[in-house]
Amino acid sequence: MKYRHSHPINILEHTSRFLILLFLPILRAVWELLQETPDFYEWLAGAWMDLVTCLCILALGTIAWYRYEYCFTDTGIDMRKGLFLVKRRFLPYRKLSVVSVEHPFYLRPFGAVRVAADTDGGTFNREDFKATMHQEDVILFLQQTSLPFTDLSEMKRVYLPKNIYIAILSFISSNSLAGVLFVSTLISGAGKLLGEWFEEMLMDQITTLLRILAFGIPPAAAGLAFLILGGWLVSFLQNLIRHLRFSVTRQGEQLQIQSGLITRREYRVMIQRINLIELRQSLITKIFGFYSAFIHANGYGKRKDELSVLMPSCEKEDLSLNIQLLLPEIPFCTPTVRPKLKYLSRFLMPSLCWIGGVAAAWALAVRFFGSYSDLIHYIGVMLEIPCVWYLLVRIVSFFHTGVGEREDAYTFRYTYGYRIKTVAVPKKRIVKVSVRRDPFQIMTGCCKLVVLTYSEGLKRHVIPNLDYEEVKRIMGYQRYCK
Amino acid sequence: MKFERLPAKAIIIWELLAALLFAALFSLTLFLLIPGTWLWYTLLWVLGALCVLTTFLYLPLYYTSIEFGANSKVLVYRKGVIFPKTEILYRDRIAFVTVYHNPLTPVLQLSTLTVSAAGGTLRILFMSTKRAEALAAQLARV
Repeated sequence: MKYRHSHPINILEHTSRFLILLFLPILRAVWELLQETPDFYEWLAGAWMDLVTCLCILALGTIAWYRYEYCFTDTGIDMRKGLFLVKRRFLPYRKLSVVSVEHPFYLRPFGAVRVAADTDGGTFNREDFKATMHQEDVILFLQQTSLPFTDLSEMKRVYLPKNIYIAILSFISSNSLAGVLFVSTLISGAGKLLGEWFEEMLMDQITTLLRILAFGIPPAAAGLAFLILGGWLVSFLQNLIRHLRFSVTRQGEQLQIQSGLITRREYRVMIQRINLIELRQSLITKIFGFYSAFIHANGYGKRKDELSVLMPSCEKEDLSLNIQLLLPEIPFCTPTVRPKLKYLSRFLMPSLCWIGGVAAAWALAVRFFGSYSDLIHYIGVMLEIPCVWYLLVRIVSFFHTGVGEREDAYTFRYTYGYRIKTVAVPKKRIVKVSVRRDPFQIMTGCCKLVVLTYSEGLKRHVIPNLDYEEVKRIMGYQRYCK
Repeated sequence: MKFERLPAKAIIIWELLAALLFAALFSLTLFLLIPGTWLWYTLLWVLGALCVLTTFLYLPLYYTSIEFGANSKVLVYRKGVIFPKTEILYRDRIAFVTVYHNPLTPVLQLSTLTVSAAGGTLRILFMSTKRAEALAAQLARV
């Protein structure tokens, strides 16, 4: 059994953990500057201390790299790391849920690749095994981890979406905040690297541009609008670059997902470890008949800004065809249990309350702060828009909600906030089902069905306002419920 | 299923740690409080009683309460004196196993075994290093 070390570039990645030690040279320099007469030569005389600190950081990184070893045995990954607190972990290949390989463009010249392997156990925000490897080790890694799941005699089934579908996914999954955060980090980072003058110049140019584009709108409002729009655009481009050249290949008991224009990513998802397939729609995509399909498997969609996409976007016919092609084990079906018409008011009530509440606050604000009526009317209209939108979603929700059963999987249809979801869950992946009823629901004979799937973290599916007797029948709980 | 106990070294370490803790608490009481006051006497008596109860009763009972065993289907871990607890982990749900060694492991030969499964982990502390490695290998076998 031969243990291997990560790629030496990993030393630099490890040093980032010890950069806190740079505080000492910085403190020494600041101390020298605060003196009444800063003496450059005195500071220079003590520079050997700074050099020793930097060497210490490098040495600690090297030790961390040297003590991190892994080995691919016939049955699993054997990994050990740490100098004082030694951790030795064994991950059987058969228990892996997702194996991922990432080729960042900045590691390509060094022939280094990032890999990770995840199981159903462990923590939600950390991979069970990860390393920066040599290219040739990655081939072995993929071979070994795929061996129990791949049947090479089986034909490959490939799904390649059109670029327009990837653009639609990027369009609906982009949010302004992520983009704004990215741009602000970029500007401040550039300021640090290129000097304060660059950051100031950039901000001046942006302010001038805003004045030109404001078209009579107050500059603050225009700034906010452009910030949101710009942030969204950046987030959209990030998502687009991340998902271009997307493909899914099914062979044996494994799903191979590849994506990325600049940084290529490859995920191998073990079919039997998939917790569920989720179809997401917004009101707009519902109107246009587009679906985005996601899968929930530990290790896929775990990292920052990563989506667990199965199909970026497609129409209904394509969707059922491709699901049948890639994952016939988890079928979708039409719901057999739906909310009755008498429960419609329960769907509409929350959104109507929001509309009424905002209208009441609007009227009160005009009554007490009449001098600002223009501004209040503007804010009132802006606040009512999401409430009315929510009402439309709730109307759609009434017709969408339901539960269906086919073979060994359930299909749950519900809305969550503004999202319209359809989820197919294999029966064996459900860990808990709870049927909840408040006094009003007892009177009307309806209930709320809560289904939990558990692996590294809980995932809840809440299907509201279904007929109690029908829920008991479809979930097979007549024996347990009163 | 055959249940196993932790090595005797574990209880010796617990007793030593308890003795150190109580020695520190006694020293603090003796040096910080005014001797001869009611508080001084109360604290000394309470600490003395706690020390005797812990070292001669609770820790030995706790040590004897800890048992673990594995068969082809489950891993069972039992512990507790006042609130006895039994943890059962199904082997087919085990995702991976980890053995932790601390700086004193080469001297004491004691390690921690952590078994991670979907939805939970089971941790057995103060196991003999050899047994922890062997049990880890046994549980990791598919």
